[in-house]
Amino acid sequence: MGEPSARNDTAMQFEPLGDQAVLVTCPHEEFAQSLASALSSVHCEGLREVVVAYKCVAIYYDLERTDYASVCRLVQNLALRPCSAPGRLFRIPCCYELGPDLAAIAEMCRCSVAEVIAEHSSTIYTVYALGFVPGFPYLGYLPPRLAGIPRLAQPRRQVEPGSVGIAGRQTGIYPAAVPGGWRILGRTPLIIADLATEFFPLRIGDRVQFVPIDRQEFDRLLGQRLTPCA
Amino acid sequence: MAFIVERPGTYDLLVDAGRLGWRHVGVPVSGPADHTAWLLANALVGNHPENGVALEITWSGPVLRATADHACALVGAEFSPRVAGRNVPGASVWHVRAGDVIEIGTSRKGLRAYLAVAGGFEYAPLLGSRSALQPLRKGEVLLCKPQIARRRRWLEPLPHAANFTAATAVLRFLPGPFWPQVSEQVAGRTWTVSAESNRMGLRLMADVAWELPHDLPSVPVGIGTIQATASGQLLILGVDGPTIGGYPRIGYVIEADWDLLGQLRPQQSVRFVAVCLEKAYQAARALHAWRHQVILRLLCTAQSSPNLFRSTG
Repeated sequence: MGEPSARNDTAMQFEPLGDQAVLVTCPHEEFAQSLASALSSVHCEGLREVVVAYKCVAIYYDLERTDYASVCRLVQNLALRPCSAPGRLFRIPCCYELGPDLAAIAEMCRCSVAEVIAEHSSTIYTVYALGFVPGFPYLGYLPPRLAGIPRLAQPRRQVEPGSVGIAGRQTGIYPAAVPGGWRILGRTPLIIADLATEFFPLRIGDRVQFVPIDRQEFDRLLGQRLTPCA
Repeated sequence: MAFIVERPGTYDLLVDAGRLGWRHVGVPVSGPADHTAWLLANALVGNHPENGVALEITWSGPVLRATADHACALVGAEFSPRVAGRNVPGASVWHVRAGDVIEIGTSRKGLRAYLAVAGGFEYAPLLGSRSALQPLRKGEVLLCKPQIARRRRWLEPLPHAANFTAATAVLRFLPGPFWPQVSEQVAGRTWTVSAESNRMGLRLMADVAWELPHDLPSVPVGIGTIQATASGQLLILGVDGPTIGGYPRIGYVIEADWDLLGQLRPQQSVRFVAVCLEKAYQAARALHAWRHQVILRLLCTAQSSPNLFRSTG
């Protein structure tokens, strides 16, 4: 079921991302994930790392062993398949009473706090990107009612680890206490990433659903590690 | 077999070649901000760059006390290191004795230098790299495996030294998607390095204003990516920079000038010169060849003198 290379060619746009990476813009997010997965199983001299963010795939290469034109050609000739299986599902407990911006978000969305929680926790999101800080998942897309909330004009100096925020069409989770500009609507008690213990359970294409919990449950689960649903 | 941190400097960080292979979960490459200086420091004392952990020193260096005899080298920006109260030359191997106090001092030109010790500093690996996440603290003990290395001096300047000691540093870059919108404002001007620069990124200021899209989707970025901020500044991503970003990308500093990014200090003037991809490759390959030659010349001869630790004095 590999597609002819000519179709790959027209569907993707290429540009240099500096002198040692190619940035490929794909027609949609699933296409980008298929490309990344195809690249992970192909052996090619000089390929170093592949990073996906939304519709884009960056392919970092060793300029001593290959070059921009060769990497582009490789991508054009790859047989892409649609992602065969959806990513693993993670159910992430979220204590919405610990969200400092929850009331403000409800006001901006012109609905009740209960409706914000219901909308946010009834959607199954996809991990479209990981980054900004190690292990921060960019999850999309928010239901239309919650989408379009701007970032804080003045980012917080530090958010609580596990803070669940929204911005634009995305929701995301701060793995650690870092500065943050997203509006925070809740907090998960789980550790979702930890560099010091090499713990990065979430991958591009995984699916995430938030499960509302109360404060008591939050305290009980605090510090446990995120694992996928069986 | 160790150094004790008597007084930390501005930002002293143990670094190896970097943490490759984890950008897909958002972990930056890290490693030395000036790779060439780091490599030369290691090679001078006979450490293979693949496992050489050296101390990156920024701006104002630490005061260390040796607990055993060691051979050291400091390479990079112009510091004036002193061992037991005596000046020692830069880019050379010098010996310290147990109890000696090493004062690195403050850089006069350039920003960063690398202190390598023969045998290398010990540091537990994390995600396959021995680059630290936090700078040194007072009282910290830096363990190292003592290894002999002969005294010697490296006379050839670093390939980028003339550029970071010049009145105006020149950064070569490949134009990016938003270059046409800002080219006149960026190319014709001299930019000034802001004090709000660090290993995550170099912030540059000039008196400009532009209208660029904001709220762009985040895309993967890399070391050297030049982003234009809404307030008219440029942000060039460093070795500890984010792996994805949503600011308009106006260009990419070429790899051959990444070392220079690590040496630019606050208030330094910077000009930009656009190059094509082929020129960028040529420059990077020439730099790699220079580094390779350093390793060939220095590594196998590091221990060849029998008169180690003989007092000079």
